[in-house]
Amino acid sequence: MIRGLFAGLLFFGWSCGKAAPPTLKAEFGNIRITGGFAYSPITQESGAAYFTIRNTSDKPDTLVSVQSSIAKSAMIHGTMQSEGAAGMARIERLPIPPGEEVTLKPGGTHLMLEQLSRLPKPGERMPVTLVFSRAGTVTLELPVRAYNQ
Amino acid sequence: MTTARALRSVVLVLALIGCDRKPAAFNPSGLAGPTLGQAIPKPDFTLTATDGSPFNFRQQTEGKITLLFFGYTHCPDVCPVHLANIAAALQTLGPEVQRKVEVVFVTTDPDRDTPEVIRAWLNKFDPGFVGLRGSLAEVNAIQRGLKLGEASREPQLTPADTGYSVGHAALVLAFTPDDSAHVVYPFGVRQADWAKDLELLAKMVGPA
Repeated sequence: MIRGLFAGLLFFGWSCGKAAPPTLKAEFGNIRITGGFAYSPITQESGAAYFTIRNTSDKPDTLVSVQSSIAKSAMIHGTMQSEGAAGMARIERLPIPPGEEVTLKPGGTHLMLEQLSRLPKPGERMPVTLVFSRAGTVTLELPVRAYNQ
Repeated sequence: MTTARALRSVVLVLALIGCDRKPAAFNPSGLAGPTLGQAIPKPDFTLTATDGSPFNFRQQTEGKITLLFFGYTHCPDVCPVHLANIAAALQTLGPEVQRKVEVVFVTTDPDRDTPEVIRAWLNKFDPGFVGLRGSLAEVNAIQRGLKLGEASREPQLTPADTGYSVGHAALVLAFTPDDSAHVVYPFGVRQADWAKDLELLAKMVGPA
């Protein structure tokens, strides 16, 4: 059963510190999203988005698909560090165990967007849709920041 | 020209030997970046710059603070974060420091990163950044020499699939005028730390 939820349910949360750029928090079903943001893409070739996913229920959930209305393709990419070199691999299914959280963050696992139809600027929003096997589908309007923010 | 350069290098080496064995030129304290137990010698390689001219890394960055970084323009995560923070830090430091610092980007994805693509991408950060390109074998040999590992490419699903990612070192190496990197910058260095370190490192460069 897939439920569609939209940004109307979501709200912005400000991290501590006056200079910190905004991040997005959202809650739907058994999934809580915190710290959501995207970088303002440099070129139409690729962009990246980040957030923490917490499964608040006692049943496993899995992020099975990601997409964006402004990107031809989207995927979860895991970055592996070994001896200073970074390697990346596509993650098809990202399990979120009960009561646990998974964090996507710069330099680590990230949501990669490819072939963007437009380049959201800092202060604008990046739409990203997440599909969970249990919680269903949600579209996040992630606040966009510059790469040096 | 080349002979003059070579002579100058010899003079520089002799000058260094003349000093006491400690890296006399490297003494900044309070650097945010981790200092290496054993310095990395500045590599001697020639790749092609985005204007098509050959670029000898050792000679053409001589006497400067040189930040060397391997990456690729399709990279959405590590590469633009490093370059944007370095560019923003340099902006805050002004021309005096800027002309003492050279930022050199080497692509690990020569198939997609043509000279034009590299130039356009670097210009989004700082038009003064140098972009270099060579064969993957050449670039991997340089990375191996620096003990950075090789660029590993994600397999293409089909020949038409150009969405592959490329592994690369996430480190930025900072070479100082003594032709060594004593300090490296892992991913996650903040702009304020870049600014602080570049200002300290630039003090090692004499007036032009």
